[in-house]
Amino acid sequence: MSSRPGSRGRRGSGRPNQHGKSSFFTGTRERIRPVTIKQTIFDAICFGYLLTIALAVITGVTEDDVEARLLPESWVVSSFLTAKEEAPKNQLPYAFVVLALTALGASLSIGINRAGFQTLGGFLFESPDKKARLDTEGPAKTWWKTTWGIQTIITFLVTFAAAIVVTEFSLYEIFSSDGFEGARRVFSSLATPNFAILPMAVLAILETIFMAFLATVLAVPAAFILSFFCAKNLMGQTKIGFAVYTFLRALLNITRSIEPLIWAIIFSVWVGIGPFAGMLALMLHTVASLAKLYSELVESIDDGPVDGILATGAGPLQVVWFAVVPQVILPYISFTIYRWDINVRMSTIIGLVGGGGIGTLIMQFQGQARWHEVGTLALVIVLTVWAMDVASAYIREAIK
Amino acid sequence: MICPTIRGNETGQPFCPLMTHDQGGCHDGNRAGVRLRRDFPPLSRRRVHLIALNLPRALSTMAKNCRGVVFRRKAHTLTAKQLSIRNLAKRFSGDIHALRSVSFDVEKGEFLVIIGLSGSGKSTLLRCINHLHEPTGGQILLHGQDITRPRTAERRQLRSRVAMIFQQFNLIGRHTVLSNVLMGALGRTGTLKSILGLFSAQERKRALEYLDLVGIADKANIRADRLSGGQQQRVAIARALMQKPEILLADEPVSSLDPATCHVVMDYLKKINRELDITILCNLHFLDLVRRYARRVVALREGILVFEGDPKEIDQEWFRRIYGEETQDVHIE
Repeated sequence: MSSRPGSRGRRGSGRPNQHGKSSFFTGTRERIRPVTIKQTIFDAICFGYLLTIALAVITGVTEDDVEARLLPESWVVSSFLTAKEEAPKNQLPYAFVVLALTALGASLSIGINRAGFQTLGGFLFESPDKKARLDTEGPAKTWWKTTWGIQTIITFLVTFAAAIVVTEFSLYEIFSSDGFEGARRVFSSLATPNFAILPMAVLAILETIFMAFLATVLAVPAAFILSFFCAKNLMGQTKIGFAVYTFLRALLNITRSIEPLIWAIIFSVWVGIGPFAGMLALMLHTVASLAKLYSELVESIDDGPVDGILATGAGPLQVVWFAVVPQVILPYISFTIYRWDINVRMSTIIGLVGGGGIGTLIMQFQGQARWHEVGTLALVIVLTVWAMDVASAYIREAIK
Repeated sequence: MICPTIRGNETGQPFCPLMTHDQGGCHDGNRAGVRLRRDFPPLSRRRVHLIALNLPRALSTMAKNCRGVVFRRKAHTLTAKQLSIRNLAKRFSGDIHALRSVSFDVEKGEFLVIIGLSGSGKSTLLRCINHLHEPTGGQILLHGQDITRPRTAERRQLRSRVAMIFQQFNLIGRHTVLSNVLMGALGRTGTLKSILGLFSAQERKRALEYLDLVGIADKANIRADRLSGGQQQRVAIARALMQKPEILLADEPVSSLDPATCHVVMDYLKKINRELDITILCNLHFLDLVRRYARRVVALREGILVFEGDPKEIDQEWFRRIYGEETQDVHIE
C-alpha cells in the first residue's frame, strides 16, 4: 500500500516541508466555475429581458399587439380588456415567447459560465469564500472588460433606451407654447398668495404636525421591538429565529411597499375621513420603514461587544440590551427625528385623499382653481418643512 | 487516523509527533498507529490520507509494507485534568477547516500559550472552548465532564465559568468602566434586574476590588471608550474576573497594544494566574513573550497541533515547522 506514491502525491513527498504554500487540502482542487440555481435564474431573467426587447424591436410589435396576444385566448376569462375581435387566432401568445426566450437565456448563462466566463449572475451570487478564492487567480481585469461588466453595461443601456420610449419622453411637449402659458398662469397666482386664509392655514398645518408627531411616537416602540426580530445577525442562528425573521421581513416589506396614500384611503373607509385615518396610515408606514432602517443598523453592528457580553454567560435579552442597544441608540434617535420630518411632509400629501390637515384644504381650493389660496397654503407648507428640516438637522448633529 | 502532517521518519520520532501524548494516541483520536523504522522513506501526504480513510486494515498493511510496528495505546482514563481537548474539529460553512483535529490537556493553574500563524485556528480553538463557536467534531472535557454539546442553560453556565478576553477588548464604549466590569456578573444576575442596573452593593464592591487589582480603580466612573488600549484590556480582565472564572481564555490579548503596554497586560495576566490560581489559555504572536510568560506551549498549524511542550524547546527548526520555511524569529524589545 505504500510501495510508490502516485504522481499527484509526489509533490507532497518530495518537499515535505512546503505545505504552507499549497495546502494539501486545498491545493489540488480544480477551479471550475460552478453553475448555481440562483445565478442561472438571474441570468435567465436578464438575458430573456434583453432578447425580448431585441425581438420586439426587430418585429416592431405595438402595445396593442401585446395586449391582445399576451396570454392564450382560452385563459382570458373577462373579455373587456383583451377581446379584440381582430385578435388573430392560432398564434403563439407573447407570454410563451417570453418564457422561451428566458429559457434560452438560462441555457446561454450556463453555456457562458461553462466556457469559463463569468456572467453577472455568477458574479452576484458567488459565495464569499469562492469569491476570495477566485480573487487570487490570474491578473484582475478592469471591470468593464469582463463578461459580467459588458452584460451590465448592455442591460443598463437597453433599459435606458426602453425607458425613454415607454415614458414618451419629449422635449417638444416641455417647450410647447400652449402648455407653457397655462403653467405660467398657475405659477403667477401661486406667487401672489391670498393671506386672508392664513389663520385657517396655520390651524391646518398644526393639525398636520400633530398628526405626524403622533404617528411617529406611536410607531417608534413597535419598530424598536420589531427591529431586533428583523435583524439577520440576531435571528439567523436558529431555524425558528430565521423563520420569524423571514416572516416579519416579508410582512414589513408588503406594508412598506403599499404607499401611505393607499393606506390613507383604506383607513378613511375604515375609521372615516379625517386626521385619524391619515395618522393611522402614516403610523403603519412608519413602523414598517423604521423597523427596516433600525434592523439594518442592528445588522451592521460590531460583533466584538456581542462576543464580549456573550462570553460572560449573559442571556439573549441581556446581550441585546448591553451589547446591541448601546451601539444603535444614537442612530436610532437620529433616524426617528428624520422620520418625523418625513412624516410632516408626507402628511400634507395624505391630506389630499381625506387624511385631514393642510392637504385636505389644498384639495378643496385646488378643486375650485383658487390658486391664490393654494399659494398661501403652499407657502405655509414650505416654511414648515424648511423649519422642520433645519431643526432635525441640528438635533441629529447635536446627538452624534 | 494517521495525521497528514507526518514527515516520515526524519527525526526518528513516532509516526506522528503527537503520539507522544500520554492518553490520546495519535492526535486524531485513534489510539493506534504505526511506528516507522528509521530507514523508511518518507510517505507522501496523499498516500497517508488514503491510508487514513480505512484505518484498521491499513494499519496491518502498513505494518507489513512499511516494516513498522503496529502499536496500540491504552484507552485513556479520566484524570484530574481541568480541561481536556480531544480531537477537536471545527468546519465553517464553505468547507473551511479551521480546526482539523486538536488534542491536549490543561492542568489547573497552568499558563498555557497557543502559538501559530494567523489562520492556524488559534482563535477558533479558544472560541470553541467557551462555545462562541460550536465545534463540529471531537470532545471538550471540563473536569472529565463532557461539555461539547451543552444545552442553552448549560452553555450560559459554562461561559460564566470560562471567561474570555479579546484582542479588541470588546468593552461597551458608551458605558462606564465600572458598569463594564459589572457586566461580568450578567451570568448570575436576572435579566430584568441587570437591565434595570440593579446590581447588589456586594457586586459593586467586588467590581471595584477587581478594578483595583488591575490598577485602574480611579477610572471607575469614566466612559470605557475614553481609556487607552492597555487600560481597556485591563478593564476587560477585571470584567472577566468578575465572572469568578476557573479558566481565562485570552485571544491575542496584546496584539493591538504597543510593546511596553504589552508587558503590563501580560504581567497582570501572570499575576491573576499566580495569585487567584486561574488557569490561563492565551494566544500569542511574539515568541519572546511566549518564552517569558508561558509555562507550556502548544502550536497549531492549519488546524492541527504540531508542537506541545516547554517553550524553551522551540528552537530554529521547530520554529520553521510551526511558522513555515521563510519566516524568521522576530525579536522585539
